[in-house]
Parts: sequence; C-alpha cells; structure tokens
Amino acid sequence: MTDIHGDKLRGHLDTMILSLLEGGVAHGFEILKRMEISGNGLLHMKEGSLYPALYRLESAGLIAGSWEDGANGRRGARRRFYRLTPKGKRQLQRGREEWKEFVKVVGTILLAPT
Amino acid sequence: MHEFETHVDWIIASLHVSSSRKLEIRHELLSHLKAAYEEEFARVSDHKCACAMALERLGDPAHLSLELKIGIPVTELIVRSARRTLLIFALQILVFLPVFLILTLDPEMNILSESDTQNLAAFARPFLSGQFVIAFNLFLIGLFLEWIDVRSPVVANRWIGAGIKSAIPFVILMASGSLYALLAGASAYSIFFVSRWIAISLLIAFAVPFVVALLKRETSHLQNWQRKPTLISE
Repeated sequence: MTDIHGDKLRGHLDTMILSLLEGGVAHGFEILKRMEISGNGLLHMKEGSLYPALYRLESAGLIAGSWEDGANGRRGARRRFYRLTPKGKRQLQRGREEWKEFVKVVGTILLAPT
Repeated sequence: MHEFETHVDWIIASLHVSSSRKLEIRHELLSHLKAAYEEEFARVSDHKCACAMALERLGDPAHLSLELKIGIPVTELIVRSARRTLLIFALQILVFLPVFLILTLDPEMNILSESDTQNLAAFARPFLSGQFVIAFNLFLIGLFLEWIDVRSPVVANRWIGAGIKSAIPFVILMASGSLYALLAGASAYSIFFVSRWIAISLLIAFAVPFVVALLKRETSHLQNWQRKPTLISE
C-alpha cells in the first residue's frame, strides 16, 4: 500500500483524533502512536501538526484536557491528557456519517467503468 | 534539553496569547519532543542525531507557529487585548495624574487663571476622556494588528501588510477624535483648538504607550532574528 502524507490527511485529522480518543484518554504523543498503529504505519504527518488540531478541538469543546500530576518545574515538560467529551462523541458520529457519504459519492465517480 | 527549549521558545514567541497559555503550549511541545527523543535515542544511541530526528519529526517551526496562530480563537485575542488595555489605562492614569495635578494646582505652573477647583474641574473631564479614548484606541489597534497578522492573506505581502498596519492607527485616530469631543464635551471641531497644555499632555499620553508597544514588537522581532539561525534544524 502507498504511504499517506500530511496533505491528504488534512481535513480528516480532527475526526481521526476524535476517533482515536474514543479508545480512551491519551496525551499527544500517545495519540500519534495510536494513529501509527491504526494506520499500519502508512500515515505520515509532521507531529507538531497534531497540537493545533488538539487546541482547536479543545476550544470547540469536543475534547477536554487535563495536566498530568506531579510538578516538573515551571519551565519543564508536562503531558496533557485528552478525553472525548459528549459533544465530541456526537461530532465523531456525524464525522463518520459524513465520511461514509463522502466515500460512497467519490467512490461512485472514481470507480465508475469508463 | 536546551536545544528543545530554544526551539519551542521560538515557535511560541510570536503567538498572540497570554503568557500562561504560552507556557502550557511550551510544556506540551517539550514533553512531545522529549518522548520523541527517547524513542529516537533508543534506536540510534546518539544524542545529537536523536535530537535532530526529534526536531525533524515535529516539523518546520515556522509552519507550526503559523498553524498555532491561526488556531487562536478571536475571543482569546479580544480578552488578551482588553486585559492589556486595562493595564495601560491604569498606568496612564497613574503616570499622568500627578502631572495634571501639578499643572493645575502649582501656582508657578497654574495654566488657567481660575481657582484650583475650577482648574481641576476644567482638566479632569478632558483628561479622563482623553485617557479613555487613547486606551480604547490602543485596544482596537492592538486587536486589529494581531488579527490581521495571521488571518489576512493580503498581509502575506509584507509591503501591503506594513501599509495596512500603518494606516490603521490613523484611521482609528481620526474616528476617535469625534468620540473624544463627545466625551470631553467639546464640539467635534474644537478638539483641534484645545489648550496647548492639554494638547501636549495628550500627545505624551499617546506617545508613551505607542512607543512602548512599538519597542516591544521591535524587541520581539529582534529576538526572533537573533535566535532563528540556531533554531531551525536543517
């Protein structure tokens, strides 16, 4: 199979994150790991792109974040764990429906016999 | 790790968010880089190489910074700008109130030939109105500059962007002249013929925060220029 890079993932990233968080609470790095496993290592994106998407989803109330326990110093590294909110679950459901519709429509066109 | 800290600091430097929000983003990106580094180090057993790989995985810092900027909600920009404006307003009052008191109460400096109370009353209204209008102007200017910084495709051309940025303060200044006149009780045109002391004071009140804002921006840019070459992993 061909690798799928960042540009093709754009537009689907938000729904993919919601879907991956359905599997349980996770921090950013873990979300990427889940994506890698679920995508059989074929999905490639610059890892930093995950964070603007996470902040966007959090600000829209689709996911909720909380900091890990324990102080690592004011300037140190701390992980933020994200979980799916009820609103996020509803959005995920809608996203799945939209995706099915998209695949159905585009598939009809792309796979139509010439 | 210092390399990661410098890298992340550069990414968050130009974000128009509060310091606490910047710190949160910093924590999270550093945590990510640390995890990526550990993974790479386990693979290659070389510190320098693992660092470079972790940074490479994170992506282009300029692109990430822009993505983060675009993601900042407008409400956050407004709240931040309002907070800053309130602070500037309080500072203006604090700094210029003694100046006005001296100007109006000191017999040597007594500008108007009326009593102290009349002097104070005469100055209090335009003074407070002026300060309010200035603070409000700065709020609008700051907000708009931050907003167009990432959201307008026109600003992609730096000359057009600079032109727009330069024009905005003048447009707002003209519009606020009427507001000042309304609040200060003067007619719309008499603002241009106010006492020279009020005019000078207002000019100072305008200049100080504006110069501070300009210097702050300039310093921030200078810091970016200084840091950039050492930051972007090739």
